[in-house]
Formats: sequence, structure tokens, C-alpha cells
Amino acid sequence: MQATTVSTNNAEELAKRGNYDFVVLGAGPNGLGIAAYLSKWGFSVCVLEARPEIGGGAENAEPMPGFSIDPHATYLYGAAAPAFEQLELGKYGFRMAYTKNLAGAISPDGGVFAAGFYNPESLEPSSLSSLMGTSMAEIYVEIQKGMRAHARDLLRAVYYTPPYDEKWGVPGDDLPAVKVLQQTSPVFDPALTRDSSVLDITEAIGLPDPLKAITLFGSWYNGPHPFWKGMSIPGMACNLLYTYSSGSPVGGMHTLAHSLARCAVANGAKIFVNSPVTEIIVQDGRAVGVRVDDTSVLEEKTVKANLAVISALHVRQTFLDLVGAGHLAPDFLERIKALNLRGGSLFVLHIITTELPRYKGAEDAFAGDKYPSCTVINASTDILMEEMRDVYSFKTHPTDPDHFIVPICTHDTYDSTRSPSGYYVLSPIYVQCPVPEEHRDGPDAVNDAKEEITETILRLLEQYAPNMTRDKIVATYVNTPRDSEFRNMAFVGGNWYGLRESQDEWWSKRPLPELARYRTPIEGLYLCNHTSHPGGLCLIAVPYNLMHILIEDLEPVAATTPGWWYPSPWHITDAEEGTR
Amino acid sequence: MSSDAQHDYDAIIIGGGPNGLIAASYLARAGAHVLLLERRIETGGGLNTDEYFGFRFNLHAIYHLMADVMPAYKDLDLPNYGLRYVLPPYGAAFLLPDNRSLIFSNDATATAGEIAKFSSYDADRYMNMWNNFQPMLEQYLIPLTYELPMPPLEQLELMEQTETGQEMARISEMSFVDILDDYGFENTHVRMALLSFPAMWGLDLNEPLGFLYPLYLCRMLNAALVKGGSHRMSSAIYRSFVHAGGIVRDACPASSLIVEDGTVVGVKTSTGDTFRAPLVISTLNPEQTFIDLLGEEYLDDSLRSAVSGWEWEQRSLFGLHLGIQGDLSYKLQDTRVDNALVAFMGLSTEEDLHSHLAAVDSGASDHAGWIHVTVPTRFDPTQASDGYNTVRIESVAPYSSPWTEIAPTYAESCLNLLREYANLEDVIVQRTCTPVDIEQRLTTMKRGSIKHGAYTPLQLGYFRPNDLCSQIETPVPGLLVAGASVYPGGMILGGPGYLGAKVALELLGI
Repeated sequence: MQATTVSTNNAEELAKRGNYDFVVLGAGPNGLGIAAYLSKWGFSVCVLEARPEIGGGAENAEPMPGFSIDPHATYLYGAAAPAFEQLELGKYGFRMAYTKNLAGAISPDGGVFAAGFYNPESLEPSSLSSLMGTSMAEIYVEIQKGMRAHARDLLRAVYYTPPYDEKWGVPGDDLPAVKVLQQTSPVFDPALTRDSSVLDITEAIGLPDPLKAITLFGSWYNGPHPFWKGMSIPGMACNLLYTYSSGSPVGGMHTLAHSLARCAVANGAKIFVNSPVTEIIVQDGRAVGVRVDDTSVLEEKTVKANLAVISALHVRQTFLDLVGAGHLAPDFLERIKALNLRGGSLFVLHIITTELPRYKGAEDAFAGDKYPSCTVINASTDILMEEMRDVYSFKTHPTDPDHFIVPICTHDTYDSTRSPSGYYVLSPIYVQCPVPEEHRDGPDAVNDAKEEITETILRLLEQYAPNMTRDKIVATYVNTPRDSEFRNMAFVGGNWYGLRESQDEWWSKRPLPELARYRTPIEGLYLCNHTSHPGGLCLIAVPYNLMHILIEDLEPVAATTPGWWYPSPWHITDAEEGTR
Repeated sequence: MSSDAQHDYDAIIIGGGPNGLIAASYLARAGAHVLLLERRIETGGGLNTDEYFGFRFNLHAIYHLMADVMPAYKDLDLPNYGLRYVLPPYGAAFLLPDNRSLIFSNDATATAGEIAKFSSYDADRYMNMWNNFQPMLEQYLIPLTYELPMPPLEQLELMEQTETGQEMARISEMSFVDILDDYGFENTHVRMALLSFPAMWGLDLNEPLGFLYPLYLCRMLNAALVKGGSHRMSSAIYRSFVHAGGIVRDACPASSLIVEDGTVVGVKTSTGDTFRAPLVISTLNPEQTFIDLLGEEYLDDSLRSAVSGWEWEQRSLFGLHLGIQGDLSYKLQDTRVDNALVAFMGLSTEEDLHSHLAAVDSGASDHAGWIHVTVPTRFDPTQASDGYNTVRIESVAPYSSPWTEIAPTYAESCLNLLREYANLEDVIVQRTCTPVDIEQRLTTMKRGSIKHGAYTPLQLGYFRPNDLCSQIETPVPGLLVAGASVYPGGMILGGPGYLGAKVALELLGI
């Protein structure tokens, strides 16, 4: 005898449910973002999510009653997103909690740094002079002021503009980010900036540790490798991303997903969770719908898309798992298989404590409301080098405290919803790991060392904050790279950025040159995932950028441009390019 | 609506549990401009499904007694927002220490056949009772769940008009034990099984709560699981609300009610926001609504004494949630046991049950002597990965024990008891949910009181939460109540929220 499912008998509803203008695969920030755009635009949209809950990387979990941890994303990076205005996310419940000092850093030799977009003191050269001398401090502050004054434009130029087609051969100096950067400060030589690495920039300015270390670290942990030539703009920009936002949504990143979902649902979108897609149906070279797994709540296992199927899944899942190989050229498939997944795998620790860490030597710098939300300990460039060597030689995991630097995040100082009073959540604490599949000691190496790594981090924390003795620690929770992939299938290989962010997998080459503008070899199939430009970080950038392309490709979308929409000022349509 | 410029909304609902969501959605779909305030970052309240490493655990509600019977299912178009129920083939299985089993399903004849293995006399008694219960459910208990309660005398007068009503009135005066005596059940194992249906929810078997028996027995044997986990039900209601224009503020705890000239006109939140509306509907418990949010100074003597006399449930629940590799299979020959929604084990006779409950009431918590177990993934594989299962073990437990200290040993005793009856492979994930955890996660369930307050004759029906507030309206103008502490109570019946919306719509003139 089998369990029976109670179902609806409303045939009209069933028919309606199996047929939409757009079918979106995946309900992370990108899937929900494009669903919100399209449903607000007036189209019928169906979002299909494999997991039991929407949100993707914008997730919060409550491992102990009353405590909220961030297993994945923790800070709002997308404050420059046009989506906040265009989708009216505030109306759908989005609220920010801001911190005065977002970032703090302590180097092993006792150097202390703290700064935040909402802390005017951090733009006083005198606050930095003990760290780097007065003249250097003045230069640094000048650059910071220029960046901050143009922050929104700069971020929109880097992230919120569809990449130009590589075939157009747009000169490097005409790239939007370079053009904006030129306005921020006379210090920047466009060509030099564009072609250098973050390391080059920190060395050109002469930044000392711990500032240099956290600048490199901020780039590396957020995607772009700080040593890669040609990646200084995205590398510096992602440091700007989180200082520009300087905080987190009230309650955690999951509430950002909620606000996007509410916008979509309020405008008629249907979201079905527990509904993994098993196939993107292609007929005559065109994507016409999807098939969902038999376990889905949908009675009708085929969902038709009248205008387009939009995949917010990893580019590898999209083409290797869901589109039949017969519909794609063999060399295209080979290049998808060859996409580099190295880097970006994180070991994440969450600690529940009865006290906040009181960092040695930082008593004044971190006093009162100056307590940083994210304090990076062991912030030394030498240690960062050791950590990179370990990670890229795939041979170790972080159990040597002299080999890795650790950001200790907490939101308790500016958001009272995260833990009951008298308790604190230090979450997340990220440590870079080798990709499981390439780990020298096998893919389970990091999983097997969970306790050892946790122990090392706790020891390091106590070394920097002597009050963090074991009696202050109530509980610890870990998600390893494999756990991350398990919870969030788009983190292939535990890679938080989908693909590495290097010169060959960025901007007009991400994930492949012919896919950079979100179109695919299959007509009616578009990409909307962090494996497309500009990557992850819950920026709501891919959906915004994709809208430009849909407007150009799909007549019904172009025909009804609503008053609230505005495109990127740097956008070039394919039609315009033809007449350039 | 919202013609009054003073008001931001037509109604503000405090609490995003099942009742708050249902009330909110009905109001929004009728055209009202509604704000729902939720303290946690996720709405759903007891409709909670948490994922730990691929295992989906329903840490609170799981059995849906009114599934598609509740009006909200159709009225709010919930299937269209993704709600699906799964009906297991057998409602309950009792595993006895002597390796016998007793299996209950919604097929009364089959169940009577099972009972006949113990006593053919009791099998007849069961058919008799079941057949008597059915018209009570259809004519009274189910429809009345979704109607405002009447004063007892009026209710009685109405029931006297039909034969079924008279029978209901008669058993209403009885306890669960009395009813079994009255129907003449003899076999101690059968009586233990039948009494387990109310006892598993912590109800007192000797209080005159007999009118609940048809619901607790027959609806439990029709209980469904929500596909994907209980939280999917709240998501469906939530989407129907948002789709209808409703506004949800999560991570936004209400901190006080705004009172002007003795009338509630809005809500302040601990995030510093102020929202105004002509109606505020609280789904919190009476202590939270009237003392924490409204303030004692606004209560007259009768309301103050009603609120201060509110009693929490004497018994709470201890939950142990396992993520296992492979299957759980019971050691009994009869494989139907594996396909029962709930399997009870640990006790044999009626005397065992009474003495076990007496021990719980005296605070005993050194080990679990009686557990009921559900393997949700057997009926809904989407709640774990292929090759893995979730197991939910629950035990009726006292609140006042040092749970932080004893949870691991108590959990171990649950697992040991289960292993006496079942083979289960590797336990990969183990989570406990003690009475204290219940209270900490869901603050409305003070002292682990999962129904927001005791089910006693003086806190049920017309007296839930008290005779001043059971009509949804309270003595305080502008303030309505519609949570599990209000008629017809908790357990995901969807009653208070439905009635709350009905009264609010009348007051708003929609």
C-alpha cells in the first residue's frame, strides 16, 4: 500500500499552472531577482527550486533556538543595485542594519585598523598616521574619498552593465569601469590600473599591514585573485562593494531573498520549491519548457515556457545535466567541462558565545560603537601568502595557525535579531580551502578535519582575544565546502563564486565569450547565475543585466517597457554595435 | 480601504504562525490592506521545517489533522501555491513488548479486525464507538471548529435537538477513560492504544474533555503530512497573502500596542517602527497580548483576572530528530507497521500509560519510557537525500527539568527504546528539541506549551482564552485575538485564524 497524495482537481488551474511566459530554474537571489523583474514587468513567471526553501546562498539557519547563523552570504554587497529602486524592495520588507565600522584588522605584530563607510573618522588622515605615516595617510584618504564619492557609479560600471561582446573589440580604455575610475582620482592611470593586480595597487600605494593584508584578503575571499594581472578593478571594486553597503539586512541575508520573492509573488509569479528540474526541453533548437522531477509537488511534470527558459543554475548543470548533449556542439560541451572550478571553496565556522571577543591591543580602536562587524585576525600579507600556497597546492587544510588569516564576523552589535540577549553569534568565520575534488588527501580531507580546524580557529581567536576561553563558547557549527555544495547545488565543488574570477573567466569571457551576454546556443534559453558576469555575492546584478538582453531579444518585453525601468548608461545593444 | 489618513493599514496582524497567516490571507484576498508582523526571520511558527545537512526536520508540527478539511485549503487556493498533502496508509501502530502489534487506520472494519486479535468483544465496541463518532464529526465537531463558540447552555440547547447532538452532549461530560468505560472496552492493551491518541498531545485522560475524542481519534487516523515538510504549508499561505497584496515584515517583533482613548490604534515594533490600523489582531498568547504588548493598566478587573489565571499545559514534548543512512525497519514480522504514520512503543497496558503520565507529571525525566515515532521520508522522500531517512521521535515530557543538562541522556534513552523495536542504520545527524527549546524558538509556547495554554474545560470552547475574548473581539476596542490560545485552539486546525478574519472583515465592513 502506497501513501497517496491529496491533489487538486481543478483542471483549469492545472492548465494555467503548466504554462508560463518565463520559467526560471533556481530560487536563489538571481532566480528570484529575474522572476521579480519579469513579473513586475507584467509577465507570467514560474520559479522552480530543488531545495525546500528559497534563498540559495542568501540563507539563514537556526541551529539552536533563537540563534541565526549565515551559512553562506553574510553582508549585503548589492547596495548599488538598481533593483532596490526598480523592484521597490523596501515595500516588500527589505530593511538594512548598518554598522559604523564594517571592517577591522589586527596583524600578528599588533597593528590595528578599523574603518567603515559610516564612520567619518576613518577618513581623517590622523586616524591612520600611526599605521602608515602622515603623507601616505593623506594619499590613501584622497583615494578613498574619490572612490566613495563615485562609489555607486563605479560599482554600477563594474557590476551592473552587461559585458560587451568580445568580438566588438571595444578598447580597454572605453570600458565603463575604467572611464568611471578615471573620474575618481587623478592617481589612477587607466591603462596601468586596468592591467595590474590588486597586489600591484597596494604596493604602488605602499600600504602597510594589516591594511594591505585585508585589501588582498577582501579581494581573494570575494572572488578575484589579488595576484592576477588585469583583475585589479574587480578586486578593488569588491572591497568597495561591502564597505559601500556596510551592513547586512535586518535578520540576515535570507530576508533579501524574501523581499525579492515577495515582489515576484505579489506580481503573480509562482514559486514551487521541492521541484528539481530534470530536463530543459529543446525542440527545433529552441527551449520550450522544462521537465520537473517526479517528486515535485507539481501534478504536471512538464512546464511550458512561451517566451524563454532562464537558468539560474550553474552553467555546468545547465548544459551538462539539463540540456541534452544532442542539442549542443561537442566542442562547446568540452569547453563547458573544462571551466575552472579551482579556488573559492570555504570552510565556514559559526560560534555561539556568551561574550564578544575583546581583542588585545584594539581596546581603543574598537571601543563602543566602533567595534567592527568583521575583524580579520592574523592580518599579515606573509600569512596570506602561506595560505594561498596551501590552498593552491591542494595539499593541506588550515590547521597551522601561522598559515591562515581569519575574519571573525558578528552582526550582534547592530542587529538585535540574531541572538537572544546575553549571547552572541560569531558567524560566519571563513577559511579558504582547497577544492575537495583536488585535495591531495582526497575529497573528504577537510570534512575529516572538521574538529581539528575548528580547534585551531578557536585557539587563534583566544590568542587575539584572551577573553574567548572555552567556557564562553556555547556551541560551534561548521559547513565545509562539501556541506556548502550539498545545501546549495550551484556551489559546484564548494566553490562560492561558481567559477574562479580570473582574467579568462571574467567580464566578456565569463563563463565563455559566447555566453557572456547571457544568451546561449539554444534559442529561448538564457543564463542568470553567478557563473555569468559579474559573479556571485547576491548582487542582483545578473538579473538586471539580463533584462537588457531580454528587452533586445524578445519583442513582448521591449514592447511594454514600464516607467520604472532604466538601463545601464554604459549599455551597448547588439543593434547599436552594428552601427558603431 | 484605508480611507482614514491616520491609518497605514486596515489591519495589523501580530505573529506569522499558521493562524496569523491564515487571518492575514483571508483579509488581503477580501481586499483589505494588511500588515503581518513576525518576530522571527521566517514566518510559519509551528509550521517549521529546518534543514540540517540535507535532512529536513519538522521540529514542531507534523501531523495535519484537518489537512484539506480546513476551509483555508480551498478558500485560499493553497494547492495553487504549492501545498500538497500525503496520506500514509495507516494512521498508528502500537508495538507491544511481547512482539504483538495493533494497527489503526481510517478503515474502521480493518481496525476492528486488528482489535479482535486482542478481544473480539472490544472489536465490536470499537465499531460501535467509531460509528457513533462519525456523525458527531460531520454534524458538529468539524463545522463548529470554524464557527464562533457559543455559551455552553446555548450550545447544549442546540445539541439536544438531534440524536447525534444528544450523544455528543452526553460524552462531553465524560473523560477519555469514562468514554472507554461507557462503551465497555475491556482489553487493557486496546484501552492503552485508544487512550494514547489524546495522551500523545499531553491531554489529561481524566478531565471531562470527551467531546474531543472523535477529533483526536478519527482525525488522527486521517492525518496527513505536508509534502516537503510542514513549512511548505505556511509558505503556501504566505504566498497567497503576498500575492493578494499583503505586506510581511519579518525580523520585526511587536513591542507594544498603541492605545489612544482606550482604543488600540496601532503597533510599535522593537525595530523602532510604528504602524497604525483600526484593527490589530494578536495571535500571541494571552500573557504576551494583554500584559507585554497592551499593558496591565488597560485591563479591567475581569480581564486582568482572566489573563492572570491563564494556565500553561502541564505536559510538553521532547523531540529527538535523527538523520539516518539507510532505512528504519521495525523488528516485527508485520511490515504494515513500517507504513504507519506514528508508531507507539514503550508501554503495554492501560495501567502502564496512567503510571507513566503520573510520573511525567511528577517531573520524572531521567529517561523516556514512552515514545511515538514517525519516519516522514517513508511517505515523502523529498525530506532527505536518496538512501537517507529522517526519524522523528517524540516523548511526552515535563517542562521543569534541567533540559540543557539532561537532553543528551534523555535523547539516548529515546534512541535505546527505539532500538529495542527497530533496526536502524547509521545515525548521521541528531538534533534534540526539548521543552525549553520549544519555548526559545517559539515564544508563544511558553513553558513548552505547544497549544499556547492548557486544554482544560475552563480553557476550551467558549472559555478559550476566556469568556471575554472567545468571540475574537476583546473588551479593548480595536484589539482582536486569533491565535492557538483562542477557540478552537492549536494543532494546526486553522480555526482561530479563520474566525479572526471573519470577525475582522465584519468589523471592517468588507
